[in-house]
Amino acid sequence: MMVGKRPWFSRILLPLCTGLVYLFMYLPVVVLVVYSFNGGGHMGGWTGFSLKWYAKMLEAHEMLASLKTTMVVACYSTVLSVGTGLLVVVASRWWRQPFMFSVFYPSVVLPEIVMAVGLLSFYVVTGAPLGYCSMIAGHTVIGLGLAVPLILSRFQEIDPFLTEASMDLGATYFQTFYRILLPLLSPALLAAAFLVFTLSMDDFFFAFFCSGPSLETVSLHVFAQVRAEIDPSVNALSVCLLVGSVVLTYLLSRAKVMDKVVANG
Amino acid sequence: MNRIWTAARDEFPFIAALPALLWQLVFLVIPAVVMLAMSFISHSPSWWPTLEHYRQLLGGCYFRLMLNSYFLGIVTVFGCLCAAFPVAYFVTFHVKEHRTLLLVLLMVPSWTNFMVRIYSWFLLLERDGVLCKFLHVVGLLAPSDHLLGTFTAVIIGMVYCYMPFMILPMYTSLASIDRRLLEASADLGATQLQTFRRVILPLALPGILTGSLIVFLSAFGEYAIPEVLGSSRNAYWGSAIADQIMVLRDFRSAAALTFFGVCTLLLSAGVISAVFVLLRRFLRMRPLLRVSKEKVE
Repeated sequence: MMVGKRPWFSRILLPLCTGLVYLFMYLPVVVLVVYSFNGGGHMGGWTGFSLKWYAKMLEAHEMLASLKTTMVVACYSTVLSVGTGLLVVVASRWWRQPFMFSVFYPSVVLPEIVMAVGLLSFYVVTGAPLGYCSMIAGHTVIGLGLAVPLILSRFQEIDPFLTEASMDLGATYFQTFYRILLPLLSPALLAAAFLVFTLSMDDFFFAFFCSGPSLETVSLHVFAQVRAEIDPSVNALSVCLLVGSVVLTYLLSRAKVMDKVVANG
Repeated sequence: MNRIWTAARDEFPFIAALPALLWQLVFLVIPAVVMLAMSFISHSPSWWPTLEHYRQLLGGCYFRLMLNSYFLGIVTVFGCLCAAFPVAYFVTFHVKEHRTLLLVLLMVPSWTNFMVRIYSWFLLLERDGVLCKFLHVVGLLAPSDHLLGTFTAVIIGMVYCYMPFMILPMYTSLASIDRRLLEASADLGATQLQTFRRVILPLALPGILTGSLIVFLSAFGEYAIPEVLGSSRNAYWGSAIADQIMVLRDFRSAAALTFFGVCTLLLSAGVISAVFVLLRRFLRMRPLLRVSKEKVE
């Protein structure tokens, strides 16, 4: 664009604002990383570089258990929502009902707390036990709300003649699915899996209401810590989570999936 | 056996569609119905139909809760708009390459864990926290004051957590604007400000609306951020529901509160969309370029 004629607010103010927003987003991250290497914990000043919180983290069994719970729930709900979401999208080419997909949209619009309360009242009425399964059920509901529209939008870009040709040439539904549709859909599937996984990791309400008294996710663990006395090894755990998300992001951007994530996030 | 296999193969589309649809039915639709039903069931003569939960709500602090939550949601949306629009605009129009990378960089902190993000702000804002000390030294904050537990702290946390939901739809709608429109507008003699107001803003409005709605709806039901960074307990809709469930164990009142809140929310979502539609029509109806009109005359 016309660089020479740009007025002062777009030349100076705009980059300044952008920079400030980036600072705003990264300030807490930097503080977290610094404190995780601080010998004195998070209270008081810098007392020297130390890895002791990372060592403490490996001994904090409750915290590691909460991490494990979070990971297990996130993996199951990702597989379930992307798998069943893919199936329903593909099936819609041959078997389509008028309002079939509208059942996936309430979970996009409704606040999470509403779905969590609804699910909890359902469990209370039916007497279902609270635990892994009750949480996975909830996360899969919101995961489907995210995965189905994303996969559907990519699926509708695929030329219907491709599947028709494949069927005409004698391929079965399964062969058409594996040979034609799956390769074409795989970027969308990866993006959906990533978004559902991060959504499940992020979740607070389903864990808070539907996890039952014995299970704890990372969110619940940190929440309980903030309200009582904070163990600084939470900082170390947070940095590990951050590193994990950076690595995952890097791998996905190598696989050219990030454009899809940005367009659908 | 072979016949069953053949039948299953022929019915593949129907069978494949079932799991996801059933899942949504069992864990989304039926729970919603159960919740609605529960809110009409009384406590004392057990399983008796009643309106007492709703009566208690309207007699109690319901309106204060709703007003507080509205205020929280609106301030959060406004904060997110102010923070997200310059970034989305800058990345779309003034960055030549690596746009996705820049946006992804902005998202990375939000892909860790929601609670961890709030916790890191807790560390920054508490009395001995870095930001608080910095503000004391600079003199922006009186030494006796602190940030944790104030409404400002809550809003900082809210904007931090919800801004990604605003920035992505905004960027998508800005990036889809045809650049030739901007050139045409400039060729016809519009200044940059006029181009912005008459061309870019109307075209970006759907994205802004989507982002605002998503942020507003999630912010409205927020519980954890005011709980950790704020001080007044039970001031918001989300915290009142959580309190009913986790402390009082009163699922029926909680169901009534939730259902009432959703109705209020859907109503206000409709109002917000209507306002945006009117705004868009207003922006479009003005003659696109007054300069060219004068030239014709």
